[in-house]
Amino acid sequence: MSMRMFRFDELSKAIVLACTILVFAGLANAQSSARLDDDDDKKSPTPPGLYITPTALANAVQQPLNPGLTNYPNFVAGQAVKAVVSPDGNTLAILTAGMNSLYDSNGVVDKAASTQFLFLYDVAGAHKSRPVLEQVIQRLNAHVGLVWAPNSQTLYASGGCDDAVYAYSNNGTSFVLSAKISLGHAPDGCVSNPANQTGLGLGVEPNVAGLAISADGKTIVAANNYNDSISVIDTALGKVRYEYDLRPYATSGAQNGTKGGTFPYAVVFERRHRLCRLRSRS
Amino acid sequence: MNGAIAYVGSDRDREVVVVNVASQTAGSLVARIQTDGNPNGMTLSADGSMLYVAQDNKDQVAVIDTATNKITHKIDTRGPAYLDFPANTTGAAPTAVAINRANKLLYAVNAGSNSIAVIPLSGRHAFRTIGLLPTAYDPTDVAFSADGSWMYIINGKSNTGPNPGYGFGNFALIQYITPPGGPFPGGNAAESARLLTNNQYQFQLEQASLVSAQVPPT
Repeated sequence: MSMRMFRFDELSKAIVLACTILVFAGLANAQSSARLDDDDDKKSPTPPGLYITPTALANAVQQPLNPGLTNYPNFVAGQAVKAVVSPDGNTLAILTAGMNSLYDSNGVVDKAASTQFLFLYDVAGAHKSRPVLEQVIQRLNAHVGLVWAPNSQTLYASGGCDDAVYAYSNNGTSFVLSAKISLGHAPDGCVSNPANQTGLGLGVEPNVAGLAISADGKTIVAANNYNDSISVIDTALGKVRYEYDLRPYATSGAQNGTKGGTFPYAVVFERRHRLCRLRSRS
Repeated sequence: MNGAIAYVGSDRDREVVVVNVASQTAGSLVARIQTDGNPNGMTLSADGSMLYVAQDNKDQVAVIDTATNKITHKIDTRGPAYLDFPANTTGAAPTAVAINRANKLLYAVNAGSNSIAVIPLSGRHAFRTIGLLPTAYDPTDVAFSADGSWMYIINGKSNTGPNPGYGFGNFALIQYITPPGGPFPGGNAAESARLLTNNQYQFQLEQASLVSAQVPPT
């Protein structure tokens, strides 16, 4: 597919130099810090008190996230929310989660095109400095969860109001959907009906947000954004082991109404055994 | 087993909930760590000893010692201290954090100021923003190449420019009166469809992008 690229390194060297100076002025030396601490230098360069930053990093290349939709060749997806490089360093995955709806020539929502997108870029070897788009995976709904399995062969993405975690595995030539792990709150996914409005609150649908994966790849923790809980997932079985309610009264013995644990968003996993780490410190 | 402890950011209650998930059947609470702002993106140090928590509505990254589950530092991501931002100059809105394993610097993605704060984790500038890297509109995340020499910054928005085909005003009216039996019968269904076909609603025009750039040397 054709891809427009904007080369920022064609900007003047002066701008690039200014950028570098600004970024590392704090590291430069005590002398420069002293100079910048002078009262005269504290005055704002613009009337509203805002500072102006340079326009681009050195050797920067910008690529619009065009999914290459057949009927909308100029459409560029919005709201990219997550970028993760595979552990082997070969693939950059980018997930969108936003308003990416499109209407067809009859003014009707084009459901086949109105999706979220998972972009996969080759960043191996020479492509490190200029990622090459290899694949775009369409998916109905998404949110801020995106993690790689340690072997770089499977990618897990949160499905937002689909109430599911999707697994995409490398079949040798591309990544394909290999599992849909239901989190068990909404039987029909993101369909607005009472049976699916099982988030906490009135008419709230579940919404899986952040994901984290264990170092051995056997466990995923998913943040249930509108259920105030986490789901602990067995990746080998493709099933939820159990759900843990984060609210204090639910699982910590606190009084009903005690604040805490609501709207879980991001989650991270400790990378090694806690006791081993503490022991190694002593 | 690996990965026994999960750190979960509670966006509304301004806390990080620490849960032991080593059991195959049930989780158990380890700690609740109060934060100044709403926790967004988080990352752990390579050895797991430190947790970094971006809080967009406090322009801050909290540094948490995972051995004690206490906050040890609060990093202002608006910019270097010598820029002397007034207290009411807010809105950097850090939404994500990432560590470059090669140079061991922390990068906080300031969605509100179109920048990435560069933060050393050791030395005399440790836990302080030393500079801002400019980004495209509304950056949301950053990742690094395997050798740490290139960075990949994604953003969510763009300057949409004019959208004359959207027909704002007329469009809204047409939508509401069009359904049969609607409150204002007689809507122009054909005109409504024509305007929708333009796909010029502002959110449809916002374009995300990937910027790949060389990590500035230290």
